[in-house]
Amino acid sequence: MNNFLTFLSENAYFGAFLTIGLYYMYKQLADRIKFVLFNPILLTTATIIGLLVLLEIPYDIYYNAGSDVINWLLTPATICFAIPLYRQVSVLKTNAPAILISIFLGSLSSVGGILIMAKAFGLPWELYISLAPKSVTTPIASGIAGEMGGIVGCTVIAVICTGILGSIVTSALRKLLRIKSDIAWGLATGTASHAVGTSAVITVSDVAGAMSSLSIAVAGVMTVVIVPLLSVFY
Amino acid sequence: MKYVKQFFIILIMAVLGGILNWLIPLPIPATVWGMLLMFIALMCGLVKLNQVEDTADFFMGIMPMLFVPLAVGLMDTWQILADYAMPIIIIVVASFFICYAVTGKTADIIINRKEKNHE
Repeated sequence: MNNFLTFLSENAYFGAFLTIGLYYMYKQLADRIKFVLFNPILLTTATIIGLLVLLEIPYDIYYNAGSDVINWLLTPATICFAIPLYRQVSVLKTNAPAILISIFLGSLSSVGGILIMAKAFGLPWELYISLAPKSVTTPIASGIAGEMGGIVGCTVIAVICTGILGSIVTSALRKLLRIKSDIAWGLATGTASHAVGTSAVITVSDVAGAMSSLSIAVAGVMTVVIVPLLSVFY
Repeated sequence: MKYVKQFFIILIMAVLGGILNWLIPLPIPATVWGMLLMFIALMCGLVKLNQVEDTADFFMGIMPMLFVPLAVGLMDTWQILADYAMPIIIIVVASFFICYAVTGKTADIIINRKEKNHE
């Protein structure tokens, strides 16, 4: 067993091999199954954790075996998020006040609500700050959590679960809350459940899909400012 | 060479973002600074969309996978999550509904008022 661990720690590829291989497999299956709970990121993560625990391989060995390179690519990928943001600017111009005010209030209430609940439950700072940005898209949320001393893995999972929840309930919730316009529906979905929620409205309404996509970026940028400001009160 | 050039432009933003993060004492991540710089560069026309588009689409396509190594890191911090499992689940679900309702209702009210004014 020790020999096996030494071999793995000297092999620079097995972490990347596991990550890319499993993600590819689950993504292929997910595209066929089209069931929202069948999420490739969650499944890949769970499978790798299971394997590492079963084979008693420490996280560091997995991380240093090529997974660090995958993680390194996150920075350029996050920067590329500016491209969809730029493509959405024309949509923003059509209804700027409604869009900006509602996304701002929504993001503020999300972070504020988390702050109040985390205080009530007595969560330690590192957990609070891991959850505070969880409504926004993963690259921005994990950036905020990492910058402010959170557990980034926890943020990633919370963000994905929020997205899955959004994509399941958004149509029912719209009826329940009697949201009339497609614009408002898209804004609520994108602000509260980022890209994963967006995927559920984009097939129903083009307007809602565009608004939802726009909200991902706008809510992300606003949350970068809101989280540090509100967190003074924690 | 197309991809080398595009990747280089993206890395310029990464380095500048890192410098801003270091210079400006705000908890704004270097990657978000980089994203904002890229956005500004596109808006100003300093960078053209077709100078970054292909590489950007590649990165956007693989982005979900890039979070897996971080998420697997949970195996080392599992205990603290297990200790607070219920509060975490409540917070994740409740804050979603709060955010959704506030955003949706606010936008609906503003849009309906605007339409009434037009009538």
